[in-house]
Amino acid sequence: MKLRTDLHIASETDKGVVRNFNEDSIAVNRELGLIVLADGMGGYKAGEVASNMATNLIVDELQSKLGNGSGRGSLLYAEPQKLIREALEKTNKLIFRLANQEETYHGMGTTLVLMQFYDSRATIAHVGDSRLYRWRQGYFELLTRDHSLLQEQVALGMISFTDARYSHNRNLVTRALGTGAEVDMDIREIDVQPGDLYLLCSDGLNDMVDDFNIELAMNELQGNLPLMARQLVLMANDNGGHDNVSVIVAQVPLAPSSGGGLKTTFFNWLKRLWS
Amino acid sequence: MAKLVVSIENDVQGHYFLDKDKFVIGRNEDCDLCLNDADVSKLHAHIITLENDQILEDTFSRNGVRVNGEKVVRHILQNNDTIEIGRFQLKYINQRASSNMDFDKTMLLDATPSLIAELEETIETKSWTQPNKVISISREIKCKFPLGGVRGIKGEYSGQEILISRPLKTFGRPGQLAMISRRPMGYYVTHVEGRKPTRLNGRSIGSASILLKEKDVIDIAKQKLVFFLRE
Repeated sequence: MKLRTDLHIASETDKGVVRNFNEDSIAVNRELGLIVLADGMGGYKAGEVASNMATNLIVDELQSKLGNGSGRGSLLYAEPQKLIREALEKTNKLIFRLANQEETYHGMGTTLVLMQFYDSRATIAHVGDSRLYRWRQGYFELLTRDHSLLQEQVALGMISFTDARYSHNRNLVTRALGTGAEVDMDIREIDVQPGDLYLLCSDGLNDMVDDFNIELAMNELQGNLPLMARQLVLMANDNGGHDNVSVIVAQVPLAPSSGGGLKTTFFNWLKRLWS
Repeated sequence: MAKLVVSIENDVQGHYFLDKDKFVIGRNEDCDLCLNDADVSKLHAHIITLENDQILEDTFSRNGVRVNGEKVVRHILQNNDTIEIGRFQLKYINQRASSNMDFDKTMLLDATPSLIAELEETIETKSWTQPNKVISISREIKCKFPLGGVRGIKGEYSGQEILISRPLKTFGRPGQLAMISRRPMGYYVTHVEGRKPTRLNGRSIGSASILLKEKDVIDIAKQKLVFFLRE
């Protein structure tokens, strides 16, 4: 069993135009086929602590479970959601404990969105308003549903879709990691197809850039993922950059082959040197 | 705290703080804001406070509610909105609802209002099965973006003028692409992919993004394009 070591992945994180620090945190582990993004919240720099803890602890936890042993893939295949659920629950407890121990960290927490690839499937999980989008053969789709007051207000019919942009509740999340003894996450398994392109982002992107422009960048810049990631962040900042903005893009190669991915990466790297 | 300044033809009648979850406006004496006028219904409208939002709703009044001159049934109040009910003007004052900036910082909703908690259960059951409608809440662009484009003088766009009004457009062919991006300070050209470099006025631009000037010539794949700005 192999994990997605041949994924093409690029990421960017930026404090934006207005804020002094970056409370977002991202982690990419190609070996595990794991991408994680967190948007921290809390007092002075506490948000940064919470989001960093979240991304690091989850990667460490899954690394230790899946490790380098030969059975790592089968562990995922057997109970992928259980493994990830446990990693999130453990991380939640550790952040919550620190928040209660240290006064400066009191009330800190973080949103989280992650994707764990294994061959033709992946598990996706999220808490809060960080998002996961998918581009598949020209179809662009949001796969997560924000845990935010605004989303609830719309779902309840209190606010129309068109009025949502005038709401002042855009930033209020109804769920977070590390703010309670238990965590309420959305988690599910999805199929993965060659050519799929996934985008994990913090609300600093989708609050500043319309979905059809996010789609435009994903559609047009598939031949250069690092440029795609930079361009998404740039667009958020060009529109005002009110918040920290982070993106991770992951592309499933068209022809899955063992080792081919690495070669392509090397080739692309050479090409970039050349040009 | 947000408040309403009530006046009749610029003659201020009083100030009312919106300090309740539901603030009722009407002709009835027990309304939070009683407007004694024949054109006002007994229960004319109310304002619901939900965290940072205050939502004005017409409660099936006979003569309706206007905000800034337009008839509304439901409206998320913004600082300095003028609500008209009968011959009364209600000015909505809320400094916090004026600057979007304060609300960009992600925060956890502390005490989830019971209303949401109750109704969340009904929503939860269909959260994954329901087609996921995307809430687009991105702000309208505040920065000024110039408008420009390219004229094709060789290749696919030869003889055509292409205005670039979206944040980016690519030129070339699959595997050999350049991007022109539209930014507040101007248009930039960047090589996207392909072994052959994108050329600007005959010179390779490498992996740099370069600010375009009028009459700059871009070569990508077999296309030759001339940049222009529209005043």
